This record gives sequence, structure tokens and C-alpha cells, in this order.
Amino acid sequence: MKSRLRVLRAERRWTQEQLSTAIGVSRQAINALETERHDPSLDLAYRIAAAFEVPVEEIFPNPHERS
Amino acid sequence: MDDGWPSSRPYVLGSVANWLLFLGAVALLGWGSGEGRFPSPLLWGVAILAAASVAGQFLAAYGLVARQDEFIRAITAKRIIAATGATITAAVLWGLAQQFLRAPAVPLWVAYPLFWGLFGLVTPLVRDSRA
Repeated sequence: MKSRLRVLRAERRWTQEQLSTAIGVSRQAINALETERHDPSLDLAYRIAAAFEVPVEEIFPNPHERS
Repeated sequence: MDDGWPSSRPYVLGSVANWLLFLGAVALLGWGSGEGRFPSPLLWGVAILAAASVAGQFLAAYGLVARQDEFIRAITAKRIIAATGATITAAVLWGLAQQFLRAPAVPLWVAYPLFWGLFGLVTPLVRDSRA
């Protein structure tokens, strides 16, 4: 799943380690999300959105949305 | 994660203890069964001890993985499936070769170290939680 996670994290100058600590997952999980090796659960997506204080779809665009 | 995945100290120490117990029990069985040194009930006891160390190791691994995040759990599950599949495949092949092709007999307990060896081999290959 494509995401804007790396861009948003870079904008805030957070390291993967800092973000992983903030949302309670491993650094490997953050890396996997940024390199599209893992699709987050709804719970994890919400936790990330809460950390960035943005709506979920601003980080993870809905791939099933009909335009 | 806070318990140091993938090298949690309690898990590593527990694993070393379990493996020492397992290998020690196998060695003891090999020695004790020769020339009737140990009576049969004692041999059974040592064999059960070896098997208990195997169960203990898997319980410890299960506990460690259960405390990880969803990504680590997912890739570990995939690695375990791959290692289990490879172990059973090898066991079936060797079992048939042993039964029908006169291949040398290999003790069944070899499946245990074989599984963990294969788990180590597949680990760098399985890095994606998706299909």
C-alpha cells in the first residue's frame, strides 16, 4: 500500500526510531510501511494518524476509492 | 519493541538453556542406552525431558512473538510456515527413501534442529508481510 509516511516523517524531522517509539511498534515495522512491505491494520493506521494529527487517508490514500 | 526483538535477553538465555538441556539429554540417552547402563524407565524419563525442552523452546518463541507488533508477528508466522513446510518435505522425502530405497536411517529428533536451521535460512528471504 502506498503511503505518505516517509514524507510526513521527514517534514517533522522524526527518525524511524522516534516514530516507532511514539506509536509503540518496532523500527522494522516503520521501515516496512515506508517501503511498502507491510499494509497496516486499521488500528495501526489510526495510531499513526493520531501521532501526525492528520486524518488516516492523508497518510494512506484509500486504494479502493471510486473517483 | 521494549523487550529487544529479535534478541531479547531472557529469550536468548532461555533458548541456550533449552538447547543445552536437549543436547545433553540426547547425549545422555546415547550413553545410557548402551550396554544397558540405564534402566528403561530412566531412559524414558530422559527422553521426556528432551521432548519437554523442545516444547519449552516453542512456548518461549510463541510468547516472544506474541509480544511483538503486527509486522513482526506477520513475517515470523510466514517464516515458521516456510520452515515447517521445508522440514516436513525433507522428512517425507527421507522417510520414503529410507523405507523403499534403503537410505540410511535418520533419527526423527533431527527434525527439531533441522526446523530451526531452516528457519534461520528462510529468515533473510521472508521480509514482506504481504503475499
